[in-house]
Amino acid sequence: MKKAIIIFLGLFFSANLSLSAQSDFKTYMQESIALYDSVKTLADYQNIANRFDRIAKAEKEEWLPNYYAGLTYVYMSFVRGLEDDKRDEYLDQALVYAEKAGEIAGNDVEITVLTGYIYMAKVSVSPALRGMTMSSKVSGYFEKALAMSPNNPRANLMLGRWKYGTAQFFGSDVSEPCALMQKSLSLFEASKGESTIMPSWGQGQAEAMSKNCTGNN
Amino acid sequence: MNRSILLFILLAQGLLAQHTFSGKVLDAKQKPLAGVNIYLLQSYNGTTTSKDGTFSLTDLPGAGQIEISMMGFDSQFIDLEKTDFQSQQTIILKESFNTLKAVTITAGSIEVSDKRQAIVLKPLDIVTTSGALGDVIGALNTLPGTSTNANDGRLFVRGGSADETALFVDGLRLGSAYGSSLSGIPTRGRFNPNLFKGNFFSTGAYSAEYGQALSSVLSLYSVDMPIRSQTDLSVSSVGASAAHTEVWEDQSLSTNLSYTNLSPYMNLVPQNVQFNTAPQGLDTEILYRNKIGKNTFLKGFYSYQSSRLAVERPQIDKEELESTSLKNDFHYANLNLKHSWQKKHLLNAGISYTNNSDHIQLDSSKIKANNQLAHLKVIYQYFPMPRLKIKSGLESIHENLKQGLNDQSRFFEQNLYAAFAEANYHFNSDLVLQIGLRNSFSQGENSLMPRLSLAYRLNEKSQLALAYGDYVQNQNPSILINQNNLAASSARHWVLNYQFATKDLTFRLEAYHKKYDQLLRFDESYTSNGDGYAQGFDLFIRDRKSIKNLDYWFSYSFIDTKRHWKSFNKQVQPSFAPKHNASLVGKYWISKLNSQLGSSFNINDGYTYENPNLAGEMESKTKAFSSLNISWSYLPKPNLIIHLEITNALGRENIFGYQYSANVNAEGSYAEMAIPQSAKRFIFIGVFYTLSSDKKANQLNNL
Repeated sequence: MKKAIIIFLGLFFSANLSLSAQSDFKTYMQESIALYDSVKTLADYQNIANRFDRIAKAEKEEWLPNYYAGLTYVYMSFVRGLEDDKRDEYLDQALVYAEKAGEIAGNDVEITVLTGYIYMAKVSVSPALRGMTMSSKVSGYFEKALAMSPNNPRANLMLGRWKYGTAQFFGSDVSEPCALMQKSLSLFEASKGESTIMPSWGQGQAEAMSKNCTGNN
Repeated sequence: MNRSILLFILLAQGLLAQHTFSGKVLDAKQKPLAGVNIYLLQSYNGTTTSKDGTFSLTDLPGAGQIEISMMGFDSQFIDLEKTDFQSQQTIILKESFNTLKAVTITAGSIEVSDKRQAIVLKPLDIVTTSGALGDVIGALNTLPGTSTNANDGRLFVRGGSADETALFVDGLRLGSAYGSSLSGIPTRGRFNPNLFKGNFFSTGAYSAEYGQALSSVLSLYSVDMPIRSQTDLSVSSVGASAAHTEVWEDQSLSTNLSYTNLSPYMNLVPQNVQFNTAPQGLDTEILYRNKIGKNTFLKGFYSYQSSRLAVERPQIDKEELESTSLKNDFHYANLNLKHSWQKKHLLNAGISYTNNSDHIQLDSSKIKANNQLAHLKVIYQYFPMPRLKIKSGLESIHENLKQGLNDQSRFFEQNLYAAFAEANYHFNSDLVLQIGLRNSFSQGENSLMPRLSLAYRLNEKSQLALAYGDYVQNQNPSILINQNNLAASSARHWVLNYQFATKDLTFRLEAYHKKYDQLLRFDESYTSNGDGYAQGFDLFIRDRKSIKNLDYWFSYSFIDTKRHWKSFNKQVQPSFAPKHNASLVGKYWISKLNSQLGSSFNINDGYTYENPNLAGEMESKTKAFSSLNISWSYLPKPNLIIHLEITNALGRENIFGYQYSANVNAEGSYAEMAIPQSAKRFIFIGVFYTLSSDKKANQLNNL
């Protein structure tokens, strides 16, 4: 009996102490990712970003916490009513995390998509000033991501989204971007249900954007 | 037994996780900070402050460290062992020093870059400024501090002659910086603006890094690593060009070939000058970029340009037309290595070489001139902390000139060695001081030149800056070849600047005083005992918010300058420095037409000239100069640009001065002949097409 209690206590404390154990990492990541579903305000996003920041600092070998912290700052930059300077600050912060993630993981398709996403958000802060000069950077990252992994749903989605916006601006044909987004939609469907801490965002965007496509054609 | 276990648990919990750390986080102004990350280091245990700055972090052990961090603020660390958990904590976070948000030195300088939101000019403005015809220099001529001399085309800054502005590419001297031309026919900058990601244009009191420029420095920064491979093609009313960029993993190579020939155009549009050979030329450029490892970057640049033209013009004292022809060959090479380590050290080493040859045929005389300039420069920068930058460097310039007249020839060469050091220190985000010292040695003369600038931010949007500097510049080699014992000219600058800037509105007011000494004079022989001054103020306003889709800027420069130089007996106002100079540039985007309409208007109160029929020196002034330029850029497809531009659209007959006969005529006066512009107006139409895997890219992406 005594032994059992001691073992139990030992387990209890060691679980408390060695937070870097893989299972805890995964659990805490999953918990944090799940918070996206209930986000309502900028403060909620900040809370998530802070969580990922803490994990990133505790787990120096993991790129995912940095990735998600960066992604969260991109989301934050899209919150309505922010000053342009604030949006830029968030996006610069997002870039810092994306770079850190890249340093850990090397050339990774998800980080490449994220980097393109950050520049896309930067363009959206001031399309008139940045559109002409920064747009090649945005499409450059998305194209690179697609070349790295042609069946990555987010690479297909983001390149499609970006090309769709441009085609609309110039009033040209949207069939190529729509095909990319359609493809991303089926890729999302195929990967559905895989419960993991790997990036899985984008299906909602793909569905919404594809509706534009079917509406137009 | 149970008791001992219970005790053990209590003790253990007491040691490990029982404390609560709570309180409030404020900024330096005692305002609550929301969203601050507070957590136990090396754990996931953390929390975020709420709207009122309060927080409560539970389950803390008795030992360890807490980090309190927030974007834009310096983190704080708290030792749990020294913490009194019973009391509420008040934590004050200080805003961290951010180079991008801190005040910068604006006195005397205009940075063209994408780095900051509120700036005077963006790289894209260079190619979209109406009237500039895609010339960097043309666009800069719409900025405050410059005087437009439309029959010359070079930069004239605050009462300084064109010689007093030095051009640099990636920090290295560009010799023969303008295309060779004949007097009265405007020249252009050497290179296509698409090669540069930005530039730094200083109209006074610049850093210790630069020397051999009495008035101004224009430093061009070539593009870094391009993102993708692409091919650009263009055809215009004056020629055609093709460019290709190939990008590999860590290397890239860009090549550009362009051919210009104005003869078909000149056959269609009448000119004021009779061209026997219309201006024509071939330009080639090769850029090589190599990223070696993480911290080393190599840039190489080579350009060859060849051009010719021939004119026949009336001369006041000649019956027949005077015929002049010019053939120019120009080579420029530049190699630049940048290496950084530990994020605190940066080493730049570079070398540039210019070789420029002019062959001029003036009636029956053959004139040859060959200039060579080599510049070697090493800069070491040290950043011990974010608020302190230390820059030091060594450089050497070798320059020679060979001149030939028919069978005779002569040669001149000179060397210059210089060392400089400069420290830039931010006392805080609102106050920056830069102190520099430059020492140069040339022609047996040693010059020690202090430089100083200071900027203070008054509030979020406005700042004051003050700058001072001493400058020397050797006499032009074409003078020294006659007489090599002439002392260098010197200048002392004072600049006071006020700037108000938001994202869409920039207002700049700058006052300056410049004192010249040892200017070149000619009085039977050359001496350098001239002197002079220039003083005045510049005003600049750029606004892109008042009217939707319209972006415009206005600049006005008042220049009061006189100099005792050349063969004048007293101080005179030089011909190239009108007192009042203004320009207005506008760009209007019409999204329905995918078009940008552009317009620019330049005006000044006329150029001074010397009329021998009147008493005094440089006592006369031409009528006011003005030019209205319009342009239309149309983007029918993302990768296609059609551009139309007309300079001096109203066809105003501008006069730049008068030529006088050397002899008195029958009426007892010196006959005069006006110096007009070489053409009433210039019309340009061009089509720019880009091929790349991404069909969206266009030729503006390079910027």
